[in-house]
Amino acid sequence: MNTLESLMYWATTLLLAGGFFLALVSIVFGKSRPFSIARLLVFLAFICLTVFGITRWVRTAHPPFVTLFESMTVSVWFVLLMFHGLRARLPQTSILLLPVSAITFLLMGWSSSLPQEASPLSVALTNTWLFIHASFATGGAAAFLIGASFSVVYLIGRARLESLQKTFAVLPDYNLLPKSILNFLIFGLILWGVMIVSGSIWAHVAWGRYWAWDPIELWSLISWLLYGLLLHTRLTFRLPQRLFCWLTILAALTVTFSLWGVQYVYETIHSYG
Amino acid sequence: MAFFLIAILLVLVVLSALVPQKDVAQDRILDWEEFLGDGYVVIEKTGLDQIYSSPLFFLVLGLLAINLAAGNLKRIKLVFRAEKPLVKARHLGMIIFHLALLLIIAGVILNYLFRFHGVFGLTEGQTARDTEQKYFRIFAGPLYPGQFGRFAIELAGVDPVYETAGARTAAAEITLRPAIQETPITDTILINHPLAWRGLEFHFGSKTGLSPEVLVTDTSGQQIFRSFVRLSTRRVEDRTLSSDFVIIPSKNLKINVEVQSADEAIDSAVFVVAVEQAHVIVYQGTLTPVDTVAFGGLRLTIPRLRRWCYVDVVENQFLNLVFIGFWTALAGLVIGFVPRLISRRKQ
Repeated sequence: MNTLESLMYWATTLLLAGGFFLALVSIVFGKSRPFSIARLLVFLAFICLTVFGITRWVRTAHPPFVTLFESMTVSVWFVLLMFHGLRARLPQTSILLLPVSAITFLLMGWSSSLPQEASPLSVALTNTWLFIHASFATGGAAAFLIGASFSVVYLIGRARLESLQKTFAVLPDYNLLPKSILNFLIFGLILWGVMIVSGSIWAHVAWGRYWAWDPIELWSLISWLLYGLLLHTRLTFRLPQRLFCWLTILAALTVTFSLWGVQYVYETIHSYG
Repeated sequence: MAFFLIAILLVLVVLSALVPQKDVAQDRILDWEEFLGDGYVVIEKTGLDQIYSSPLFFLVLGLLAINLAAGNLKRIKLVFRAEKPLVKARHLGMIIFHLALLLIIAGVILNYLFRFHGVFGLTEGQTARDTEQKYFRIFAGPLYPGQFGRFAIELAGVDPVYETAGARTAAAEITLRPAIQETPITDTILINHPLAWRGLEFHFGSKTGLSPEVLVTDTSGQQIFRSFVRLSTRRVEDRTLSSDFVIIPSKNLKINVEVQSADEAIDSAVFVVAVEQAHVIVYQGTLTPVDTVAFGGLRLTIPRLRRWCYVDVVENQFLNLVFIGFWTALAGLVIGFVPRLISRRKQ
């Protein structure tokens, strides 16, 4: 990493840590000022990460999807983009700041333990499909993580959320939270599905087979089926909402494993970089 | 119904992630066999190691396709019932998206049934005809009509450090000679760049390596064995091993050849050779091309050194359904979501 990248990367991590800490303080002690500062810090973290991504893209001359480190930071960027986009449209979703800052800070922490140097592009990756496939993968993961964040807010409970009403001018309608969770899961399911199919087309072009049951392909399919099943349990069988929320959080872990955990356990041709 | 089908599919796929599958994870199967011993028979008898080709797997996929089709019929009614054009467009988008999923599933199933994937293991300068026996391995669908004799393929050369788009990779130059009198086609194939010819695709295979020619003669110079061996690289604990062996039954000999140099450079290749006769090592040492070693009245030499690689011949007649399905699904999403965004803006 060059100096600017390094600066932006660590600024993002620290800003997210600060944002999470202040959001937690604000919710635990019922104070609104720390929350406003936390919101600003997380927005600044998004700006810093954007600068980091652009700088790295320009320097390496390829989109920053190639290494595990890059994939993780791009996913954090997508989560922050969705969060800020959502907050701009619906200010009452600001409460998501707490889970979003926690998730993104954890991912940045994980990424800091990985090799951070840019890797030269392997031939399999010199393909337009890299951009399509990886964008949908990280975008899909971000949608699932935002869905899980809504679940965390739901699990805070109606009473607690209403008690926070005094602190925060606007809070999401507790009754509308289930719909928001569903919307993000459906959005994520679509993005993840497109990722799987675009990946199979790319695999055909690169290796001559569109599906080889490679561990990453397999776990991506498991995540997709799990979310499909979850949506059906909620829509068709009216699964209790709290249980559904816990399951969406667990399902988010399978997505995390599919994207970044598989290569710790299996040998896969999908190794990054 | 969809719930139960997805649940069964999920259970099958999770099982396949835990239990190594034949033709997919051969190394892990060996580990499991070693770990479970006789208990591995249970896995074989229950078919847990062949889930992807089990009838249940395809039955579930087929039923899911039927379920999707039935679901679409319901959605068609919604299009006709909707009064607002934006709502109509939204339902139409979802129908297109689900039809695209159907196309993808149909493409996958038809491909599986009619697919042909043959793997040639070729040494530089070698020519092989498209006959069933000449393939190193064939993965053919149950309904593949079994067409052969379409071409002969020659491996002209392998470049282990081919440069393309700023990256280095291995590449192979192949020449195709169609069965009937036609002009041969020569092309360089590598990852992302297969040669397409009459519905067939020729892909650079997953493995490549050095191919020393092993010549065994007796003391009078009489040839006993002569053939190229293909050293294939695999990970053994912490090191990379590139080796192969030949067996000469008439002399009860087994000759193990392993390349010593890590980078497999052809000019500086040094081989570690171990010769076993009736399970007793009669010679062990290093050998460079053209050198000769003698043992038990025999001479061993490596007169020529070449490279080898796999060339995958793939025929996926129905893959276009998956491609069309993918782009149709994206079109469906655009048609379905844009009206939603417009209607929100109007509100």
